[in-house]
Amino acid sequence: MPGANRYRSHNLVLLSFFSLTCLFQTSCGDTGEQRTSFKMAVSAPDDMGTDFENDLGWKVVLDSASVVIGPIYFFSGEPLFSMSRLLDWLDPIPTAFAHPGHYVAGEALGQVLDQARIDLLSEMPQVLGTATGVTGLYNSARVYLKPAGDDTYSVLVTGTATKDQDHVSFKGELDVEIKLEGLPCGIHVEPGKAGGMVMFVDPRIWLKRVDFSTLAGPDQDGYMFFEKGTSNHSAFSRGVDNAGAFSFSWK
Amino acid sequence: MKGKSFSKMTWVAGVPALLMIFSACGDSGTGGTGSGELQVTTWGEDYIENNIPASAFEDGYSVKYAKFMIVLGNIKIADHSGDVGATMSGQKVFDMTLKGPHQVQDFKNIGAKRWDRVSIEVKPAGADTQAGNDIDAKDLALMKDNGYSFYVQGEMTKGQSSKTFSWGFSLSTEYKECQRAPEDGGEVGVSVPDGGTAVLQFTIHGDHLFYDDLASPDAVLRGDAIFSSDKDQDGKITMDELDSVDLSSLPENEYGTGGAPDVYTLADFVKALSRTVVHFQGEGHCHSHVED
Repeated sequence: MPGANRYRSHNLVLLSFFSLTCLFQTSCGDTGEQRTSFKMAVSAPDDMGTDFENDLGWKVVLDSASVVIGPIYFFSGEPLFSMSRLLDWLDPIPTAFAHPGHYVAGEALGQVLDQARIDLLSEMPQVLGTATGVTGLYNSARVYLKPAGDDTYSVLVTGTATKDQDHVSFKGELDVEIKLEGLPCGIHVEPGKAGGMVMFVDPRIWLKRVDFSTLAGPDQDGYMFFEKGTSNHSAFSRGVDNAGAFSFSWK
Repeated sequence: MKGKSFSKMTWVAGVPALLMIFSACGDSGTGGTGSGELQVTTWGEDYIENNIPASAFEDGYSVKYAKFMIVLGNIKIADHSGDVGATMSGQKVFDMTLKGPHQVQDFKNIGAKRWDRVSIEVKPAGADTQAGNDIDAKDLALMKDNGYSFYVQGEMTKGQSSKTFSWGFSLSTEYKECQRAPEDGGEVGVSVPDGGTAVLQFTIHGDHLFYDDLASPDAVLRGDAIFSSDKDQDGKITMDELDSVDLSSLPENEYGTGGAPDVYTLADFVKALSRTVVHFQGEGHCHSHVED
């Protein structure tokens, strides 16, 4: 994979894509809000390559990373948890730590009802669909990851992990619906604003705490895998559930 | 907080009721021309002053705090337009195991209206930090010398087995936009009556450190994972021992992080929970903002 160059071209593609997008907006009475629609795309973060080292010292090279995303809903309520350090380069938004049961979504502002399988290693941004709603501060988001269509998984990742003399060809797969609540968004959707929204998903976070030396297998394809009920399956599923893997921007 | 005693609930319900009566005599909006008094207090309730009984825990543990010290400061009473009615600069340390409620600050001649932007900070103790109640001088020094914003010491018990813990936290958290619980009317902030006195209480919830989920409304108090983290079996549960327990080693249906980033161990989990202990007027809550 060409690394940084890939992502410069990535941004140019997004820019040109959204520059062709026409926002549709009409007045919504005297509330100050206007109906709007905009394109919603999903991508890996700009700084992501295919290889990285996780917290346990495993050097990981990804061969594939897919996630089935949608629908997405946007709300006025404060995010559930603090902004990830990964988001520092984005527009600053308030940080918040939650209290069990105290998340308040607030007003529903927008939604993307489409659902699509997103290849996070693609050199092209993936268009999820069209968001519809009203203008305003999209402060937090609810995102669903769930199997759809021919896909039996919500998250699928394959690759090779290396540590000292150990080389592990692995496959991680989750077949359950995952609802991520109160993700930090912090984007002002304004009347006539050019461009569209991008949700970044970082699959490196999924594998951040996995000890590849204790995976089960191999399966019929030769992959070591995350067996349900094990600490590694827990580490993987908790990684997918980590809000730090998700961020939003307007481009 | 779950499993409250009747007396506690009565107390908590009484303050909002009195305030509703007062506010009905004054201005119902955020405007107003007179002035009144606002007494700011804090209270640790039965769970901190006495104990958290085994009936409150999902797995039969009970907890008794010997110390529950918290640094409160930088209180701001304002409204959404930016009008600031009163501020308390500086910080005070309170040991919430002492019988309360404790007075934090008395604001006199504050505008008689509804102040809908109430905030308070919990920040590490510094050289200028003062004792807020009859805290022991050694304890005050402990907070200052270690830069703690929050410190707990106590004992967990199940059956005949007990272990102690002493955990210090140096985290900074701002609790803002405080609001009453919906069952208490849900008022945002506090209403100061013209010529009268309003009481505002920052209520400290001692059970939160033992919740088993950071986000779920179905979170319960659970003790087994924390109790079992005493790896060296010396009867003392340390923060280092909590940090050695990766959440992935626990059942997937326990200690859910609700998507919280950078929470991987029991120590991370308890630290995250430590940012949730300050409440407003009993069961009300504030937005808890991470400052470090």
